[in-house]
Amino acid sequence: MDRRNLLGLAGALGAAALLPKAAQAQKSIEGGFPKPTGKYKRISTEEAFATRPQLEGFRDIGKYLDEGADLSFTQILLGDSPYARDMTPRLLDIGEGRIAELDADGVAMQVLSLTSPGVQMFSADTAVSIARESNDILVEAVRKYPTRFAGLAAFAPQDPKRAVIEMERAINELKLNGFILNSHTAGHYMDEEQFWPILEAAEALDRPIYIHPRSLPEASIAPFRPYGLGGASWGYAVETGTHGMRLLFSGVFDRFPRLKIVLGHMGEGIPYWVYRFDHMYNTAKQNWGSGGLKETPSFYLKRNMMITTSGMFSEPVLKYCMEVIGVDNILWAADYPYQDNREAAAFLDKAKISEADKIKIYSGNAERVFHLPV
Amino acid sequence: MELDRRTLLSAASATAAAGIAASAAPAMATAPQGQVRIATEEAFSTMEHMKAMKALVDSQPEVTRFDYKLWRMITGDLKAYTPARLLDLEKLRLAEMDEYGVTMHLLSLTSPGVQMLAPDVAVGVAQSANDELAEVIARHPGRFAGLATVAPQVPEQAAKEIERAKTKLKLNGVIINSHTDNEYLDNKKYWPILEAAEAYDMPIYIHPRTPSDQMRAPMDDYNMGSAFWGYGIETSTHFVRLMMSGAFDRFPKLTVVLGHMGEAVHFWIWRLDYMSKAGIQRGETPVKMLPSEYLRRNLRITTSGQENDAALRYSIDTLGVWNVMWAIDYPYQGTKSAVHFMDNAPITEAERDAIYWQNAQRTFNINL
Repeated sequence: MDRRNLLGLAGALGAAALLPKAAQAQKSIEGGFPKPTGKYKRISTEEAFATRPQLEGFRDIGKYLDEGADLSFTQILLGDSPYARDMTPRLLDIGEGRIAELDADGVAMQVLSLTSPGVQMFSADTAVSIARESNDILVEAVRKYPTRFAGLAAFAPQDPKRAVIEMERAINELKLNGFILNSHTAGHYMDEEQFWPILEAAEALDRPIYIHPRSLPEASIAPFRPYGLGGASWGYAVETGTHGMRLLFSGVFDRFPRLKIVLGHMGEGIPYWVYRFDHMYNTAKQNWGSGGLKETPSFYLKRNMMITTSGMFSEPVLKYCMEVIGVDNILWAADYPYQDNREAAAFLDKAKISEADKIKIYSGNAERVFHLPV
Repeated sequence: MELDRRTLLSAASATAAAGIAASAAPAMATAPQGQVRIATEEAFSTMEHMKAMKALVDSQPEVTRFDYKLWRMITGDLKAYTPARLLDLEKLRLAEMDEYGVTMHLLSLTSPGVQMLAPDVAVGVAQSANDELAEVIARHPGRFAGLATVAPQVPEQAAKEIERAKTKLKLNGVIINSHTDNEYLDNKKYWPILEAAEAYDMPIYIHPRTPSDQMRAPMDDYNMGSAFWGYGIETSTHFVRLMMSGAFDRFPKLTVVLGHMGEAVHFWIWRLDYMSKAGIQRGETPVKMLPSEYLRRNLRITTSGQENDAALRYSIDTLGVWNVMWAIDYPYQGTKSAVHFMDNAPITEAERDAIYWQNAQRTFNINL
């Protein structure tokens, strides 16, 4: 590792994009969110872990595909900054240390997923093998703590055929609960026909694909580089929201009507535009005869998409989303270890919504869509 | 101007609910007879503008970018519905305003204004459009107000045009259609424009256009670079860049207006604060305050093309009712449905007056 090079990269990206995430998480804990009550069974659904094979892969930076801002993020995890010293061990721990934190924070269960960008920066062969090894490590933890952990399987979109083989293994043999995809793969999106076997498999296996953020691809990151906007403060949402919108408008939900896609961060902005994209779609359809979809876009948003609260602990946003997408499509998530479990719980505990709705968001919806043991 | 106590009290309670300092509530004007409706994102064009745009898009038939396709369509038949209504200011437009009880259009040269044109052409088209605009406002007092077009391609000249628009033409603000040659207003070469806008109390309406070349690749399919997604990404990103550059520290009295219910910037208000808090505290960022503080101090939003009660409620609760204004987006969106939306929105009458006209009158210094 060349640390100076690393720091240079982080600086070039805008330290504000990446480092404050840790500082914030620490701050929140220092700020003293109290231990949540035992009133709710809290299942968090966007919870990150890392594996040694994945981190070893990150060291081999010569092989990276379309790095965007992810290169510097992965190198920070490998470094020895105070951030990395706190975060990397917590990412690697899917055993007792993590369970102790869940106990302390009132979290009943985590649905785990390999931290972003997963295996999507690697060459196809490396990605296939690291996904497989990581899923094996994941399932070991799930088997050891079946009431505390569930898991989303990683796969390598770089090779759709082998991705499907791993997806089938993950559900049929490993009994995992869904799939994690970190947005684009080398600048390509899931609506493209080359990836349809993956969507087809997810539908056939009746398990959702969680589309998690990663950096925008090289081709579209330039306007987000200043002020650290390429990361979690702005660019991640543009990337992931655009991915979701491509799925909505491409017609893949007509082709795969039972496919479920989960988006974090309260839907990555998509729910805010629901009126406008329906209206513009209907206008276009009126003017040009066909919009290319069987239904209006919002129909698919409600039928095929679910959203989670990760990193968006805002009651007005929650209420807005409940109104436009429906409470049955909203899941609780904290984004451990990047954000604070207690802050995530304090937000939903005190939200002025009905108890029945709270229970759906905390556990009922996750149990249903991820087929969790009840 | 008399103070309407009911309006103030209602604004204050909304403020309290959103955790916004009640002292931020501005004084509101009292309502004249009947419902006043000032629409704030209303497009027009001039023959000179149409000719310049046609020359541009026809000279590059190989370009397939969304805005080129759109402008080939618009300039292809000036008698078609949209161009006819963009070019007409006094017949079709006033008739439609009268039919639905719209008091006033705040007019702006339609997107992308002059921002795709060569600098010398852009400066000329902007000046003559502003002259035409001032003339039509003078012919119909009380029915029209206007935002000045500038050519950001020539920043110093644009700053002078803002001065002329305020002092000579008595216009009410400035319209900028997002990026210019793929650059954003946080670039310091444009700061003379921001300085003039602040000095002459001219709000800058940042209107959408097709995303800049460096961001649009993933939005090139399914026409996603357009109104239902790409415009919002382009314009919200523009505002966030401007905010995070420290422009509102350098120009604290600058007001920026965003259409389409805020282009979703404030959907992210909690996360923007969360992600920048530590950097701000450590003095590592160009900004001094939290994003939410700039959003409530320097931003106004309009309802154009977002006739969504839930988004309206969300906006009132997070930004404060005095920061929300009504817009139709004529002739691209229907007057009837925009009026129906605001007449029937489940908000208080005081909120309705604030959004329908009081906020626009205050923000744009409009003489009714």
